[in-house]
Amino acid sequence: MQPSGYFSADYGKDMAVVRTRAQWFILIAFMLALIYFPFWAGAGGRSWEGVLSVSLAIDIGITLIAVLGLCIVSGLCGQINFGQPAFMSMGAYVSGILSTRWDLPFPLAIVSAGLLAAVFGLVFGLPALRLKGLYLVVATFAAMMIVPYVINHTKSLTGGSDGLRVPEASIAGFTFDSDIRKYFLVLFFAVLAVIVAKNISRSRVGRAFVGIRDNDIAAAATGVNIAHYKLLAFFIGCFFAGIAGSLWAHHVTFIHAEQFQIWDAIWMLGMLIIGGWGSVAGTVLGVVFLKGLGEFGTVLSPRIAEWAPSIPERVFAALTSQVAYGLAIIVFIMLAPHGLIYLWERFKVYYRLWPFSY
Amino acid sequence: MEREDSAILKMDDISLSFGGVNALVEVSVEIKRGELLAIIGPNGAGKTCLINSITGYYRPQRGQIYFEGKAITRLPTHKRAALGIARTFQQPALYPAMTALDNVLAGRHAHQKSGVLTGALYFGWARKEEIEHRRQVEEIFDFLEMQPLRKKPVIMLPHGMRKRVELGRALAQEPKLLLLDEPTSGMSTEEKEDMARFILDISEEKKTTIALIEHDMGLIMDIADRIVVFNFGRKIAEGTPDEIKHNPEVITAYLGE
Repeated sequence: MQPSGYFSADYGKDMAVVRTRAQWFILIAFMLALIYFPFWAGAGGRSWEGVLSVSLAIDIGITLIAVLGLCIVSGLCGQINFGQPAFMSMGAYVSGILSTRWDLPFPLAIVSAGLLAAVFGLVFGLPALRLKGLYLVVATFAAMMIVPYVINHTKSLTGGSDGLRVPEASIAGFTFDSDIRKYFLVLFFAVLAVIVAKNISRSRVGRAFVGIRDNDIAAAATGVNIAHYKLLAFFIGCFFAGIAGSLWAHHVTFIHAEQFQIWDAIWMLGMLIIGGWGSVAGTVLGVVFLKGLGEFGTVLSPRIAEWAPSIPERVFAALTSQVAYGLAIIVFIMLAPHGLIYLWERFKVYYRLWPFSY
Repeated sequence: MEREDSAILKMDDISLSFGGVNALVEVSVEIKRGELLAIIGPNGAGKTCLINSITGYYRPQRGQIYFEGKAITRLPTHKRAALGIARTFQQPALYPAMTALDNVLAGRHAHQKSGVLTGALYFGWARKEEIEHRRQVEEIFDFLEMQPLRKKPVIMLPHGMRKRVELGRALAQEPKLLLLDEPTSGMSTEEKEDMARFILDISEEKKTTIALIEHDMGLIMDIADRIVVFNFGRKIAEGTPDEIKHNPEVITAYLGE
């Protein structure tokens, strides 16, 4: 629904994502706030117990890139991908191995991480040509089983269960060694990922994806090559995962197969559900919401334990992120199955019509 | 082979069966260029199977299908769509989460070129292409009188409007052959009249060849140039509305002995 009194003068304007001057203003203010954030938060983080920290922001940024990939393959194209963390670990290890053993510069390493994870994703996307729904979940779940196994059993290449040390990212002599520098590196890729995902979702390829998700028979009848586009979705989605994995590797500088858990696959899908299935803006909201919730829980639990010493601390430890995540997903599925973005859209309609509700 | 300009689509001795069920038996049908052909028959006569065979969703076990003189029997569905065969479905097969505008734009798929990289940039050439196709889609919205629906998600639209949006998507494919599977099913009388008017407009203004399945005899007798009648997978009659009306076999099929 358009704001009152606003009329598009041509189709280009009507199709633009940012349409009004107020929207431009908000966008620029938001970007400036993001740039100012690490200086404001400082090393120890700000706000209550330092919840708003730079490291949380980096974590959110990296997760966002991976979940945006998932948004394309699962949200837009409807092919449930349960192996996104596995593809992320693929990217992390490719980037790590290339930069430690072959001394490849970071830009080359991250691009090859994306591409190799994408090619790998194609292999696991092949079952999607035959399988749908739950069966595809099981097929992509295989990636979560196979990848850690391969990593742990190719010790000479990956370091096996000892993990792998990865140098910090550096571009032309400039090393991203502090949290603030890493923050801007991740911010750059996250913003790029959002723009790319949004543009794909509103162009011809995105419409073909949604067509396959909503009605593949009709999509084929309008000329969409189903097999080609399903694989393309996996390719793009896993490319995002590879990029995220590479950033992760250069961020934590030590990678291990156990860092990419099955839980993460569930939480990533949960972020899509909470944000709004198939919406790029919703994905951003979902990632920020769930990651923020987890961090909040982690900070909150020792405090509650102080207040109520009679309850064993491990109860709160369990409450921290995992239970909070699960609870949030259940609550959203029950009360707002279309996610945060739908609530926002409803609110927009409401305030644009206010005080006359029709 | 027939002379190419008379028949746009030629089905030659098509047989289609599912296990023991013979959905189509030795069917030969021609659709002539520019005509409005109606396909009728009792329920389960094989009408939809015929359309599904033309679009490639079903693969007949026997027989050949020629589109503009070219054998398409082995082509996959999306390639047939690119050749210029568009269809609508009995139950509107739209993309419910998308707006009506995006649904119709999705019909432009085969005519657009932008891929992942150009789409991801959405700048310069790709944006220009998108705007150009938006303009053409707007013409379809004008043609089908559904301007107010543009930004509405299809899931919010009533059944009759969904059928119209679906027709719009098929038109966006700029088809040479338009296959309509019960375009007026579940509609009120007014909606049926609108739909009949649109079908006639498409036939006359755009010179599109149309084949439609329909159960409303009054409508068919009014708008069809020619009628093909099916019963139990076999073609039992073919001719102008007047001939069909008085064909004893057709009357038997519909009313029984």
